[in-house]
Amino acid sequence: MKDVPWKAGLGWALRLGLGGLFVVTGALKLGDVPAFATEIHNYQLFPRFAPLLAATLPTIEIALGAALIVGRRPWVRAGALGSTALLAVFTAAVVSVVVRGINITCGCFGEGSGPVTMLTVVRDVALVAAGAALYRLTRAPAAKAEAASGKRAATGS
Amino acid sequence: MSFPLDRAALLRALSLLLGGAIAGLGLNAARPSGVSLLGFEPPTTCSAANGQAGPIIEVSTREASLLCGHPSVLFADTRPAAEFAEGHVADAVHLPCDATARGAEGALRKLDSAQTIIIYGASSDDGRAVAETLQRRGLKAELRVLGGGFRAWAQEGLACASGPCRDCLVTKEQP
Repeated sequence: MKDVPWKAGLGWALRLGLGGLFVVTGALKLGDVPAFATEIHNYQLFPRFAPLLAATLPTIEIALGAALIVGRRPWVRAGALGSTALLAVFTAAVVSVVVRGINITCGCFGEGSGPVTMLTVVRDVALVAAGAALYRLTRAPAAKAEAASGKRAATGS
Repeated sequence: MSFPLDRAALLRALSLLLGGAIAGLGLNAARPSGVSLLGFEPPTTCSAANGQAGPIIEVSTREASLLCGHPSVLFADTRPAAEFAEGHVADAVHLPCDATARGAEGALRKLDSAQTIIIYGASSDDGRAVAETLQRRGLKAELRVLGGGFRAWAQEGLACASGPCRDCLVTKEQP
């Protein structure tokens, strides 16, 4: 079963968009890990884990981004799932900052990322939606056919 | 829109996360500029975090103006860059709340040389939040907060002339 052209196009756009974003942000954060640790610490969520997160998140982002851009379908799907989960955590963190009214920089793109605002939340929610859409678009053809036949059976057609 | 999780994708996603994390830890250990996982101490944060801090003495603009120019006294301005550019106590170290970590590190190095640091923001509370953070970080200098912040300083017409603070003059606007 072949993909519908617009779905294939959307899939590639999401892969390149999300994957590119992750590779770039990961590389930027990797450039100054102690600075990134401070940015994480400023969120005041799990300050003790700030250095551990700062050391691991950039390479996790690069790994996810690479899987999205150059991976085969199963790895793209896994990358989409991992990205969605990671972005959901980021979203929860920025929401908590907005709710608590803390004046800090986002750290989303390394140093000089600008402050955390409602716009940051909206952007992160959009990215979560993009990751979820890509995960859904990258279902294996067999699973899609199975789902489609199940739907037909349910409607009796 | 359903979001069915398939086991294979979940396992692959976990392997990507784990692989990325291990690579990050390895890279961090190999780099001289890596972050210390156990002894990490952030340069500064502006918002008060958990922890006990003693009271910080507030000084009036008049008292602060008398201290201005003393070689062991430094002023730290916590306001954003635009407000700092518009006007500040001369020779004040800029330590804004939205400072990048690198910027904050540089500012703190300068502050380390002072015996007394007078911190001010737009208001007293702005300066106090930073002062409490610096106190928790164990800064050895005596910390003071400028009562009323830069607003009060400006209203009083007090200003240090530009140039090194030891040469600056505390001036009062003539009516």
